[in-house]
Amino acid sequence: MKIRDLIQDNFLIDHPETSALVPFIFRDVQNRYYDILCKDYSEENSFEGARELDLKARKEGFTSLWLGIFEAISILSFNSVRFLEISYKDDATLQHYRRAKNFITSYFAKKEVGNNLEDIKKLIFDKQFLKKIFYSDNEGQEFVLGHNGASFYVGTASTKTGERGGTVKGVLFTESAHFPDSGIISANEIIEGTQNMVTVGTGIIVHESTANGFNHFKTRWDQATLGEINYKNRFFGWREFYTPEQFEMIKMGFSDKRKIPQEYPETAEEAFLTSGQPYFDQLALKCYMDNVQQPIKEGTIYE
Amino acid sequence: MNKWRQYRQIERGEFFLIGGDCSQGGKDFNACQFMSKTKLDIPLVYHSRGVAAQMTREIFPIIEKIFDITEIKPMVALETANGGASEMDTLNVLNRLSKYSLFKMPSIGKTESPESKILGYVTSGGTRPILVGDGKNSIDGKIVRIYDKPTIKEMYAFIINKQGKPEAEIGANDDLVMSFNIVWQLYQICKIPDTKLQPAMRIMSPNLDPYSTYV
Repeated sequence: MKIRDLIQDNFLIDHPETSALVPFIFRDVQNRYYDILCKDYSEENSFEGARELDLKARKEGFTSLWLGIFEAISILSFNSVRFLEISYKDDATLQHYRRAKNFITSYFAKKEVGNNLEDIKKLIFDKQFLKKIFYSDNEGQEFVLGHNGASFYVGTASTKTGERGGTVKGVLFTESAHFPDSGIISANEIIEGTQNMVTVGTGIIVHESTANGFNHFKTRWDQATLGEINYKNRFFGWREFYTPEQFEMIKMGFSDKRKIPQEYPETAEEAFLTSGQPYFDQLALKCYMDNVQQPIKEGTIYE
Repeated sequence: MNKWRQYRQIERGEFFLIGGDCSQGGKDFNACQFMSKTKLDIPLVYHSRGVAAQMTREIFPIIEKIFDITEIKPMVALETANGGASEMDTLNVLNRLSKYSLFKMPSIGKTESPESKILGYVTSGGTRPILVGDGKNSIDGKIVRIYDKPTIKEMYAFIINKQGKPEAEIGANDDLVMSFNIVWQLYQICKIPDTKLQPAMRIMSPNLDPYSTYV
């Protein structure tokens, strides 16, 4: 079964407005991104080797999409694959843990009781049923599936040490641009240490985040642009998900208007806010940016 | 990223100004903006990591080829910091065929201005505000056509810091911005030479592929 079909046919997700559990039907932006992934990697091979760097506007559903992919692979795998998510703060970590767990339980509940949504919802909170699915379940930390030993665990980047030990099939850094530097370890050290838990050239490593100024995420973004690291950088601005009317409402919610391009960027360039006042006239730069061209020739001629 | 980015063909009769910012290696970049004073645009950009000597080695044959095409000697100025002064001397030694001119830093702010003998653009406490401020006026006024996206991206990250000094954001580079500022100074200072005085030298540089269509 294809991963997208498995997710959409079986997984329930908490609705962003009502919190009710509803079928996880991909939004347009999620479908577009998924199509890109299928083009650049192999869906049949569980996106093996994916190295993704996703810069996006807020609440476009990238975390849920990747959690869904991780859990679908966990269900389908014959092996005890292990996935990890590092989030930027404790409450997000717990929320994502529960979301991933809901994906698993809704899948098995549907197998048990069929397509009736109410019946599925009743079953996924049944303790006896949960014991059948999970070999172990430590709330907010790790669950292990009973049928194949696959596991998913979560961590928060604010802890004093990064993840280093062991091997994982995939790691998701959620809002990694917002990982804090502690006095003991920097955000970048957490990321570098953790991503090396994925064996070179295999598995999945994903960074997805809104921007946060000129920090390690911007450096990584620029390196990916220059081809200095093996990540594919993707940009999904507000126009990918929101209508102009919705965007106007979003803007009205910001008292600090300068933050709008960071949280809901239109271009990747404007997402990375500077710490000081821009030196050049921004409208002039926008005009220049609108008129940049692709080189007719590029490269090194004497090599 | 490629070291050279060319945005249009270069034509006979164009006067080129070449402004460069040198690097001492590491994460810093060498950058050179090739501006056509005739067309008021920047059709060619050099941008590469490495030390200044590497840039000299790579831009030298291109500068000569620009003369071969335009038949007008381009004017070259590297910022003297970060090894730029010695690279200007190297370019002076290499200029055996006299295919380009080297910029001599004028005295700024003096009532008596003896002819300068310093090759390259000297950035100091006195000249930097002029260099950077004039560049801003040019950009804000949208005077020059710039096709190069990395240059504009660097300009977005050029800020006024908390002390009020214009500079690159922490973690950002300003090599393309500063090389633009230098080439804009050349634009303001250097006049288009009288082409009748320029001998149309047909001698090709020995290390240049004469069949290359580059530049």
